[in-house]
Amino acid sequence: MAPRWSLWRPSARGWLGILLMGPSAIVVAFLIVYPLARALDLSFQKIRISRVGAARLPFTLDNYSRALGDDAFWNAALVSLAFVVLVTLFCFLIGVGSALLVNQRFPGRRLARLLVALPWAVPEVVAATIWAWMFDGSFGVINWMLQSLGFIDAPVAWLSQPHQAFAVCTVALVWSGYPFVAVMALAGLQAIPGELYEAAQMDGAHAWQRFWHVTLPSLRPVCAIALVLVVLRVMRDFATVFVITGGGPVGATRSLAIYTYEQAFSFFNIGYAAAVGMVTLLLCALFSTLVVRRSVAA
Amino acid sequence: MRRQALPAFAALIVCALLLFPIWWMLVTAVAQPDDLRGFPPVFFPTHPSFAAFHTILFDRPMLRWIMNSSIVAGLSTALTMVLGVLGGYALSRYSSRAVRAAGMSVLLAKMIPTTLLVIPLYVLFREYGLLATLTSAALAHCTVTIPFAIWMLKAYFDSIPVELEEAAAIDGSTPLGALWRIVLPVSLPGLGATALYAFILSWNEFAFSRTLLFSAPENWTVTIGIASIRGEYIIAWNEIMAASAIVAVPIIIVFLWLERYLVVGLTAGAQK
Amino acid sequence: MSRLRNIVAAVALGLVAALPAQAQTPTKLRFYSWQTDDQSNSVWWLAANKAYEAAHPGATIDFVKIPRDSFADTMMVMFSGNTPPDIVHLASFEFPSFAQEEFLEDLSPYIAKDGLDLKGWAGQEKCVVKGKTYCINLNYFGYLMFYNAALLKSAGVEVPHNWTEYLDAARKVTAAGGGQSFGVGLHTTAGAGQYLTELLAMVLDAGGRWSNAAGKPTIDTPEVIEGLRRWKQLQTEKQTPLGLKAEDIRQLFVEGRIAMRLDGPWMWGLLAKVKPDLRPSLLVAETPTATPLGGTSNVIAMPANLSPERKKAVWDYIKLITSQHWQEQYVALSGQLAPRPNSLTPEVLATKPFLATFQAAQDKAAAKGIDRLPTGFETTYNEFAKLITEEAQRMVIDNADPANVARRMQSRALALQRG
Repeated sequence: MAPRWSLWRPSARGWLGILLMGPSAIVVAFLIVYPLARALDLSFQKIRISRVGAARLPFTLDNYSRALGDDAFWNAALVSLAFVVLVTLFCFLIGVGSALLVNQRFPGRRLARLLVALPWAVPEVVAATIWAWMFDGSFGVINWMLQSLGFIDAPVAWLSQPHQAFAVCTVALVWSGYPFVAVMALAGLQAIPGELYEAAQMDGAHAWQRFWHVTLPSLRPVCAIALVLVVLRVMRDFATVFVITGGGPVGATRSLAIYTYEQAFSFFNIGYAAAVGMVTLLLCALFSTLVVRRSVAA
Repeated sequence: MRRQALPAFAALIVCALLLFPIWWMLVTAVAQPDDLRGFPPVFFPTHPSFAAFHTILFDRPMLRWIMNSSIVAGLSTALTMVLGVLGGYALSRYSSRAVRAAGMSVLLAKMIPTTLLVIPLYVLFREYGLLATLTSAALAHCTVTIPFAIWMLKAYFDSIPVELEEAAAIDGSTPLGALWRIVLPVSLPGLGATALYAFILSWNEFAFSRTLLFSAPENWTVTIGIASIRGEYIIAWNEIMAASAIVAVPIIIVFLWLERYLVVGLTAGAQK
Repeated sequence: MSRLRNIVAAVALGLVAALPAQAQTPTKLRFYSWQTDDQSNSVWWLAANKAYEAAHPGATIDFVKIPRDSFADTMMVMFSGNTPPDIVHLASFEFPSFAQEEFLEDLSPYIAKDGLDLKGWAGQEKCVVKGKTYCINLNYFGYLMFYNAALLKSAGVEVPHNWTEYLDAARKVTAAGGGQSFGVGLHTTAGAGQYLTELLAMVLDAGGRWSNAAGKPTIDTPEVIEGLRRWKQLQTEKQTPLGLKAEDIRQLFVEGRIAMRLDGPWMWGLLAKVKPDLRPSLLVAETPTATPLGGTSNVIAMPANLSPERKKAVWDYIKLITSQHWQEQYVALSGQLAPRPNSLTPEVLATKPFLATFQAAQDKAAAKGIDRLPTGFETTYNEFAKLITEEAQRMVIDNADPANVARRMQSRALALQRG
């Protein structure tokens, strides 16, 4: 017996899909696409925040040329790049490492799997606050540990020195970021068919060779996705750095995201900030496309 | 058995190291004021003090912040779930080029720096008179929650056999009726997990909230509040950690239950 | 499926209910301040707010805190977003940029109508821009030295009276403290306004000013360089704990870990929190610097973009707190001097003898025409403070020569003036 309702007919199915997707599309258009167009428009005006309600200002490329000629902008780009490289590296080392560990067979591994990813649940603001406290220059527990272990003689004022402050932000970003990699990697590990290992074992491959030739290649697709998401997360991070250092000292942790915010809401150059944000977006888009294309090709 | 002892021991050490910050938050929150700045630090409090919790809950607008965060997260979760269910169902059952294109373009939101998007949102919400209201933050949070909800729900719907709906169609059900009466009831755990995660994302969010709500302290959320206490008194660490614990511990507990669903949802989205 | 339907219905209801909940009742006055819990100004504010609410049935004042170091930025975003507070509270040095943007109401008509006599009102001239009165000054101060007599005594030093003695005392206290207590306490982390204030205290003592009377920056003069050098020396010698905010330093002073702290009279309120055994040791004196920092502290104003009823309500509030009675109350409750002439009564002075010291410091600063706001940077103070702060921080981090740093500050200040 044929269904009574015509909507089930193949010809109607396409329309039904669009109808169902419609509300999301409209809301996304209103909250993301249109604002993005407005941001682009703002980036072509030399506008301060106090003038936002007034008439549109003349078109200009000044904001972009100012950004490209501004040391502070390049410094921010460099800081962002350094964060991306270091944080991603450590997220993968810790994430994949802990996934390999809890993928072993041992009593309590179900619990261990849950616990390893737990920092994920901690709000970034809270995580950043905890790390700022642990690295406190006067009374922090890290200084005490390092001093007791003999690594340092006197307390280090972590947050008032450039490299040290950068390191603290990196640690906090890694701690919030590695659980995602761990979860993805663990899922990837569990999806590897046992026969692959058995076959490798029959060929006489020892543990290291099995890891190198079976485990790692199988993790590649999952890792590519995780890579994109981790990098985007670091590029876009605002909360962690803002809470720990606010971008200081002397700009050592002022990433592009912090720089954008600072220009818009602390120096009130909202047009210039939009231009900096647009450049950041461009960098994010370029990177994602590159990685996705490469991983698809592979 | 001995072969398993080594990884078990290693896992114990690794977990202890990785989770030490959470422990330290809890220890600091209940520290006696004198222990707070004393050396050596107290790692296992023998005389916990709950004075910091009292201060933070009653001398600061913490309860107001918690209520605001709940309203914002509730609003954005509600909107996200309505749209996410429809969008995810479309992707799962009625996928066409247009639908897929829409679904993919939603993911592009992940690339947009929050600090960029918040600039035009500030301008737009100003035009609509929504600036500094809880609604503005809830809408902004939807730019984060909707994309993930659509794809997470698609994964759940994919796991539900389509035969159920076909049977319903034969019984004379409309497609939306089938979604409402057949699909949604059997995907309740998935719906719950998605809603909870959306709630957590909104609850934890900082950049949008800080920009849109900061100029109205009566509308601050918990994350703005904590960042503000931290900015104000660097050394009242027991209070800051007590506030952090109040905000984070419920989320951590929910997360322990939620995690298995997240793994399914995330990896399903990732591998396709 | 009634359960699901109920959930959806409840959520929809919640959505609808939450929207109108944001509407304001017309008699609620929004008032944001950084002084809501400082134990000094806050005591007076809370009492005045209560009095206003009692005199205006149905009216409430929503008195909410925004921390000092993000205050100016937040207010600017608030005014730009067309959501200004009803009662505008600003630090004196950030007020001109708000007047410049025409965000504030000219109060002259109100003052004339109600015959508010501002003759002799301390610091009120700073509120007048191009003949219009945009605010009323609420506090005029001179910097003081709060010190811990016990710490000084155990280090074997006297209360210092000049820079050399001050440095010597700081060194001896810090050396005796073994990392637990320090000679002085400086604000050395984010928060440009406070940074600049404390830096200026050192610069003034060395005889320098940020700019001259004509508004030209004078940062590269030997006097300013000497001030920078002294400020840097206290940090590189670790006479102060590093990386802390003024609020933290004040807390450490109250805990007995800092021997000398140069700060404004508002610091007095914190002494209420001191442990009893420590209380007799914490005293106040005039600063050891030849020229104390001083000037106007904070002002009250009204947004230009407000309905007439609200303007009237806000003016009523301003009228209340500037009245003779409430100005006297300010002295009695906050333990600071009020700008209105004759607001210090003999009875209050008898119970608060330290006010004589406050008055002396204030008079000294006033006689030399000191103010935190440098001439020529009135409307760009926010940017000015941020650039000086960044360069000063860099000086300490890179251990740079103050002369070079001053030159860079000077050229950046000139660039800022050019726009």
